[in-house]
Amino acid sequence: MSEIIKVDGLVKRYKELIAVDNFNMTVNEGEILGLLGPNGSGKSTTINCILSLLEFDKGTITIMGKEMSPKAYDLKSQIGVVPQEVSVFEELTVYENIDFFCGLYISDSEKRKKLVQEAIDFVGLNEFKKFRPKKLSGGLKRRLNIACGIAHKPKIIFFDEPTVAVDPQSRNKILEGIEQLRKEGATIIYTSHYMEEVEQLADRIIIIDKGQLIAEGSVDELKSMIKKSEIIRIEAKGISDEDLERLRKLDNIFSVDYDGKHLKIEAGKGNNVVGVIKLLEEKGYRMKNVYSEQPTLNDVFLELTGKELRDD
Amino acid sequence: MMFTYYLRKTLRDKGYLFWSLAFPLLLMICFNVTFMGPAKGEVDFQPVKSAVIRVDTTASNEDVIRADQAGTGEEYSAADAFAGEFENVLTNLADAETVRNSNMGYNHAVVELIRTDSQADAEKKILDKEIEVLFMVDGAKENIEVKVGDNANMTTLMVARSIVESYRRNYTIMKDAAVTAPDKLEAVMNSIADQISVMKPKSTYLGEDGSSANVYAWYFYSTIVMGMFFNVTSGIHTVFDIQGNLSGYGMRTSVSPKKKSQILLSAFMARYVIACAITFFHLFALRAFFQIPVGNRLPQILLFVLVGNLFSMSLGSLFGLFTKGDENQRDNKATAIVMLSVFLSGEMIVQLPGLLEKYCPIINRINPATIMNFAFFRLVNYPTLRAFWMNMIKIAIATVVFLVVAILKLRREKYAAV
Repeated sequence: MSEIIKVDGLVKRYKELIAVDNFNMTVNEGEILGLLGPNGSGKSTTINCILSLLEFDKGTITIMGKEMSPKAYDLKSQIGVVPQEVSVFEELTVYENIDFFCGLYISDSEKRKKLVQEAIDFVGLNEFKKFRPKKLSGGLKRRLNIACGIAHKPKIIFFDEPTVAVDPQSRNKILEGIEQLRKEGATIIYTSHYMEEVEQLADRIIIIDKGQLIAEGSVDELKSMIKKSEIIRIEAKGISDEDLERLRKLDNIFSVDYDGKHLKIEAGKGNNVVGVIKLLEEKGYRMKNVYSEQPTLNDVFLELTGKELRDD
Repeated sequence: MMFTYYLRKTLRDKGYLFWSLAFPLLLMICFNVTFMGPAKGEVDFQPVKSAVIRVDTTASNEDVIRADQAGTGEEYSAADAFAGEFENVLTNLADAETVRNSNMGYNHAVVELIRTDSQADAEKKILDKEIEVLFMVDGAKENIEVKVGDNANMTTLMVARSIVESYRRNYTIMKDAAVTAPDKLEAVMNSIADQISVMKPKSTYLGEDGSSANVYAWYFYSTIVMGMFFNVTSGIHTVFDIQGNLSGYGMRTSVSPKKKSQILLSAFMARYVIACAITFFHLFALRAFFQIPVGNRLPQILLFVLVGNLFSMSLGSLFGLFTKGDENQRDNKATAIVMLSVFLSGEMIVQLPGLLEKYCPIINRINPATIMNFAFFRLVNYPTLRAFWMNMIKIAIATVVFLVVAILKLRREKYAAV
């Protein structure tokens, strides 16, 4: 896959604050790239710089091999944006909103008419096309927000947290839609702090914190970067201190916590559950509810940065 | 396409339409109701068709006064004096020359006296609509009853009531002095003029050049200016529509391949066209529904409307760019400033510009609403246009400055430039 976006040595300062610090990234054609980071990590600033909405202090940004600038209208015509907040005109209907924003890219009214209808069908708003946004539910508004950003069939689409405050049904619909767009050939940059979504959607993930790239790779690659790759939880009563010590001494075990009923074991890569259960059985403990949890992206983030990815 | 959608968007903005279109109209209706059409001025103030009859002339021997002014030594009964002097007042009010020579401030007769032979004849004439008001004077009881015909309106009633009340009050003074003297007649007439003063085109000192204005027309002109100035919100909304750092749709338009200047022009012009159309409608309403003169200097009126709306939208653009808060907060701040400006121009207290001229004239010089009010008043009422042009130049300069600052700010913005 060829590089469709390349960001090299990007630096953006707000007076003393360095919002983006020597940031590098590439986006390959046809992939879904997840840009993951906590609030204030520099995700939106990076996206705004890429879109030439913000001037930056240092670095270069190229899209399809050409340098991006506010006047790179040929590049801009290939880009679609779905902002975090629902950004539509309350006074216009669903159809008119999509037509207006599509019209910023497509002048031919006949062609636009077809594209607008396709976008309406795509997000499932056909029966609402004469509605004003205020009459739509939160989920339907989000779909309209997406339709306004993709109606002109852009090659590159930026989604900035498109599922914030959306019900699960609409969320699934949105995520399926994004998957569909990728299948149709679009390259997608998906910004979120919902790690489950990024994990589900993204081919590749970039973790960003304090304006710096922390880690990059597929979900499996990222998870493999951390030592603690399994958490085992077991309900068992009366485990003695001696046996807890024995558990700690098992291979690949990093930590053992016990509150008299719940046992939590953090372990490294490998099949650790078998060894733990075997030891407890030998000692005659009755066990209930044995769980083995694989690490999440939050665990990756926690281990790499020492803090949680989400504070909510 | 963009122009059409911005046009549609603005026309569906209920808040905007209320403040810019409906609210000024409501105010005009309120003014019209309050003053009962006084701004129509002298042209529409017709003398009240009146008749007077005596219903009882019984003399009282104990209550005799001498008519010194006649110098004839002839004695009148108090009842005769009461009725006679009232007839005398009406006769004077019916004489245009006498009214003009008094300081009542009218150029025409206040009443038109219709001769009647008897009460029955007078009542028949009321039914036939030949007379509007019949004064039935009972000299013995010093009472005047007013009968009003179907053709009488509120104005007629007010004039009749004012005449009777003023006469009663002044006759008491005359009686107390035991004198009926000609100099008291003027007092009666002046008193009547004060009572019905709401009916005449009252003047008040307003301008730095000592100009005066019909206060009622001034209320309506202020309302026109207020309607124009509410377009500051249009300027704010235009900035929000195109600035990527202010709104999501601004971001969308900024990242699109359309030139920002093209989008700006479409958004601005759509709102500007609507703003000017609304002002023309207000002027039409002023003339057609409220009979307030707007003059016939069409090119200058056109310029007044174009410059006034451009000024308010450019001011709004500055609000959009330099103040803080979301779109609604900026709208509210701008509306508050506009209200203050319009208030200081005399929208609610017409004497305010006069007071400011006396105590703090700088406010009149820099308050755009006052400048615009004067411009329009002078355009309609002054034989020469020098003062109008001076005011328009002030507003035009401010508009150019505001627009230049707004465009420079837009170009220097960290977001994609114009």
